[in-house]
Amino acid sequence: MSFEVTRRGFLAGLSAATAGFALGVRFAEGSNKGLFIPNAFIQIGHDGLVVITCHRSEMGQGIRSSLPVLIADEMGADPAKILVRQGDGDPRYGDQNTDGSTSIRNFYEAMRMAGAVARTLLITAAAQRWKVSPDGLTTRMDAVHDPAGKRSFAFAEVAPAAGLLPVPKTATLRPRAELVHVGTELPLRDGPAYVTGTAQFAADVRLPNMLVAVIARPPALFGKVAKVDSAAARSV
Amino acid sequence: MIKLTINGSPREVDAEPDMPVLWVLRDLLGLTGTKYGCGEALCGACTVHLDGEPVRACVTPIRRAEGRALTTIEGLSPTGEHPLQKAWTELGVPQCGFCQAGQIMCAAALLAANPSPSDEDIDRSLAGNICRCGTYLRIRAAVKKVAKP
Repeated sequence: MSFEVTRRGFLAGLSAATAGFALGVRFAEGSNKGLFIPNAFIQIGHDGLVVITCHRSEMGQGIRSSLPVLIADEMGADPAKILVRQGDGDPRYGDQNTDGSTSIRNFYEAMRMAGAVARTLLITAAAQRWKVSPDGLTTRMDAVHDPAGKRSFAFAEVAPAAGLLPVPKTATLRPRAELVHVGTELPLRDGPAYVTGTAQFAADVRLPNMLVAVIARPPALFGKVAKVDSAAARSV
Repeated sequence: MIKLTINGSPREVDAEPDMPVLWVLRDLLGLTGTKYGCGEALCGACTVHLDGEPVRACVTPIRRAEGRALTTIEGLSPTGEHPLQKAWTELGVPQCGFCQAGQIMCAAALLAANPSPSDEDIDRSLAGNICRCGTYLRIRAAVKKVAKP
């Protein structure tokens, strides 16, 4: 499926619900210092590390193990090697409220589009280096491959050049059969962190000069505040 | 100052003797792998080892640990490769993961005391560790995977 890419996102062919989100998928503007940042979800650094943002909250449904794989599979990155970064409330991710079992339903296509734009740019950069048409090129396992020339470029080799290319006007989703990870049982991304105590839950966040507030609940149902004496709390 | 050993290292903590071990670990020492679930010894999320025995850190005053050895999920294995941690990962036991440190600490104490537990032994030992996601069947499978036949 081909879709139109605009500076404001991927608008063509999306449902109203997803289009609202797609407005948030803006492209990096201006200089990117050699990094490849085709949109707010994807970054390839100088070391070739593919960093993918998960903009939904993990709460046991496995969204950090699945959503980023849609992007990785579409762009041809190895999901075992990507780093998943948690979406941090940047408005470009849109409303990050996570509920109702809708993350995959609403973002299946949009995540793939984000990955497809990245793939298009990486292939274009490789085609320019090889001086061939981009049409026959493909991506898999963190590299752009030229089947005719029997050669390949690791993403790290072409990412800086891809980062300087203009956003393509259109991009195309892979045929479903070309997706190798979607639809398979995926490893639990945070499994090792959970079993070693290193996973960070909300209550584990420590920030400099952080204050801790605790809700005082009434001892009776429908209780109303009669008076507040904060003297003891303020003396802490 | 209260002197004790935490994860193999001698430590001194400046805490009220009544302060629960959980808050000494989390708030004074920054060891946040041990979780606060209920604060009333009802859920098992805060399970740690005191001289190898599983205890609920949320209701254990730090004075009880004086001169003794505390082990938390961070210290169960220096490399995170305790057989239970490996089995937990291989079988994809966790869902949200919040209770799993307590589950593993409880299971580790069980296997240290009884390397060949029956299904009943496993269920009985872990009955006090609640998992809101309901990963109980995988927890039991992971313990059995590590248990000696």
